[in-house]
Amino acid sequence: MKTLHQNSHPHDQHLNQLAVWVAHPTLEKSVVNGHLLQLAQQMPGVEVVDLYETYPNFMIDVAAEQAKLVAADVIILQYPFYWYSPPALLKQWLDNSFGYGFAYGEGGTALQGKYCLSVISAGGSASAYQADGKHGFSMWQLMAPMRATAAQCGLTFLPPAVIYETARARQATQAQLQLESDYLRLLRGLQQMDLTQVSWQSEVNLLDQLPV
Amino acid sequence: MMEDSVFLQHSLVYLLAAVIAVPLSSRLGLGSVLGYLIAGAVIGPYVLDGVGDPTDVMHAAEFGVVLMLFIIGLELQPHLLIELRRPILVCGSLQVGVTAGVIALLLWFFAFTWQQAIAIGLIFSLSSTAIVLQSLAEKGLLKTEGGTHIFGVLLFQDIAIIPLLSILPLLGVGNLVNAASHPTFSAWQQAGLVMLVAVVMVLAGRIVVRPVFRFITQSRLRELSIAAALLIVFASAYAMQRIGLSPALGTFLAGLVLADSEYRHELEASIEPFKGLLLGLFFITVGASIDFALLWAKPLLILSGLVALIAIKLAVLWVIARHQKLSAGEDSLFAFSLAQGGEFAFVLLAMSQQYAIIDHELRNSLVLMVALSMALTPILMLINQYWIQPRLRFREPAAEPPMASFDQKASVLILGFGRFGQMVGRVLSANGFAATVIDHDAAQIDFVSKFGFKVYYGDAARLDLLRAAGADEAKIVVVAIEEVEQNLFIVDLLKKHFPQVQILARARNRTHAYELMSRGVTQIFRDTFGSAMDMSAELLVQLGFRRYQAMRAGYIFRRHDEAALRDMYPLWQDEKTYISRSKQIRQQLEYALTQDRERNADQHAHAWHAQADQSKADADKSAS
Repeated sequence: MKTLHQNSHPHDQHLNQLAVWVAHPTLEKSVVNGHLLQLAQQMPGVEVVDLYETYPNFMIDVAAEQAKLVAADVIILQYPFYWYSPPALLKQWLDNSFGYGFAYGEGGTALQGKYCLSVISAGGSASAYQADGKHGFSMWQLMAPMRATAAQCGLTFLPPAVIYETARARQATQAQLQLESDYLRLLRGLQQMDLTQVSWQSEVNLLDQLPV
Repeated sequence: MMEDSVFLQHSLVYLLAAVIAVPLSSRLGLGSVLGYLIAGAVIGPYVLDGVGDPTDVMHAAEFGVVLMLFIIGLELQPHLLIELRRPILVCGSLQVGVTAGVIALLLWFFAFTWQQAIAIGLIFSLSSTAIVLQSLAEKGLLKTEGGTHIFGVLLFQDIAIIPLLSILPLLGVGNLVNAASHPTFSAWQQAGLVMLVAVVMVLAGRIVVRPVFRFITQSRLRELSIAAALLIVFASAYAMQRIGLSPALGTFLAGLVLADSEYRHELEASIEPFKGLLLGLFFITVGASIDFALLWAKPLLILSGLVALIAIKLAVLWVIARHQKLSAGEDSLFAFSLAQGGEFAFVLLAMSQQYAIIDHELRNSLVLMVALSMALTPILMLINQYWIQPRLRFREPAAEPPMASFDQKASVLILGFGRFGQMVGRVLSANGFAATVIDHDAAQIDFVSKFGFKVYYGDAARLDLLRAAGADEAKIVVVAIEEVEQNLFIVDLLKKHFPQVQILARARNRTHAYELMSRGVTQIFRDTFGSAMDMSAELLVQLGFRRYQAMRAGYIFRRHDEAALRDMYPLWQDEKTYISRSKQIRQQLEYALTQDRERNADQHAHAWHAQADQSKADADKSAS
């Protein structure tokens, strides 16, 4: 997998390797995140790490996590938005795994050329996460620390896929089904597309700019 | 001397017949009851004549029914009895009343006297508790909707024996023969006595049995607690018989009183083997008492009577089942299971002859019909299972029984409730989980039950006790036994007999952990490991580490040590044969420490000489 990885692969049958890190401290109570986790687990060829289940005591196995990072072409971080940030364990994972000499600094090139995507669930509406909305910042603006991290490590930061108003998705079956098909389409697209050929609109929800 | 040899010979024949016929019958899917009945018929006086007249043995064996009702009482907690009131009162009274009425009318039509018609009708309305419950238990059907209704009817019948015993003398027409043997009380006296005995039983169960049992179990003599259990059964049976009631009812009440005692499983496990043996013997004697000579002499009369008996009971039961809206399949189980005469008929028919209601010849014919109907019961149940039910029941598997089950067993079983098990139990209970707990220290149980835990007394190394405590249905078993030998013995037992359970085992030390691993246990928790880790972390803090770093150091050591335990496991098996226990412990520690050091050194060596070959790395290491 490592040798297969290229920045571009225009014509061969190569699939992008996806790895999803899910961070949710109360996954048993969440519907959206738990559901997305299951969908990802059912997809063939997708590595899924349930962080709070794997490292309940915050003791990240750095070697194991770095191996998974190296094997992945697209690093997907899936989490609920807590105070405009990921939950604590995802930050701990980031701090420990994206180490000097691995992700940055001298010899730290392991993540160069890969893609990074945040899949976020938020309670508020899409209009609240606008520069002139309730929160005063757009989603893309709130992604600034993640964008800077990605840039430092040579990762291409994709526009986040955000599921707004999670309470609604939880109640309405129709919304749930829509989300399900959107997410599967997203994962399949990331697996199959030649990502180098796509130009993304950074301010638009990734779920809304996928080719059908 | 002669009698001794006859006794031995008869025992030999009974046991041989059982040992040959029962496994065969079970293997063929016919159930043990049919095996016993056939074995009895073969060794009976009319085929091989191996045992002479089985009547005396039958009287002794009837005690098996008494023991069975004790165990049923134990398993049936009072609140479940209240939930069962509808099957008991409605189904039971309908079944006895309607069946007796129909049979009596039919007999009266065939020119029997009205006394005979009523007596025979009532006697034939009873079913065989022993055969039906044993067969249902064997097929695991006791807890189904049909099973609970069947149990209700049988319980009602057992209670109905009381008025029956007082009605029969009233029907008597001639002089009473041998009537003095039966104590005579007026109805009011009898009711008062029953109340009195029941109150005494409840008081004895609450006040006397508990301390006595605690005292006995502290002696740790297994046979003593068996004797005590049998004493309870005999005492309650005797008390009931003295006031003229069925001993089975007495033991049922005694069982009910003791159902919520912490010694319940112990009692159950002690009585169970006796019950099994005596019931088996009882079934054999029923088989042996089938009078084939009489059948040969009057085949038409006997067979038509037999067919009428079964057909009438079946029809009445079916109507009741439909009326009570039992679901499809359950109704046929209900009807086919109860369509036979019962063992009480033998006693009641003998009494009827004493009171000159029926003559000797009629009694023999009736006894034969009842015995044959009992022998046919397993076959009727098989017909239902393979022919009737599949045509009635469209959805498989059967829906969950809506009735309360006999015994709702917890899915977690904690074995050993000492310092270790108690903590596990407290965490479970604090988080709203129930667990069944077994411990063999009576003092411990007494102390702990004050905190509201449900704890049972007993030796968890006994298979029957594990089974009684629900190991068959448990999801997880926590083996928190301190003694290593005992702990491993129980793990072996669980692996062999309850392979479905997940085992979480406590280990005293490393050797014990390896022993557990060699038995395929993967979830092992070393006794002192957790507290030693906590203390080491605290020690590091006091030596100047910041708390977070100390905690991390503890977790890293823990992860490393648990991995090392698995790494070194194959090595341990080789050494085991020749290293003494004390030396082994020391060596393990040494090995753990050196391996710890070497691993770290290796890691550095590989990191430093990433491109160097192995021999160069080794040379570097030995040089340094």
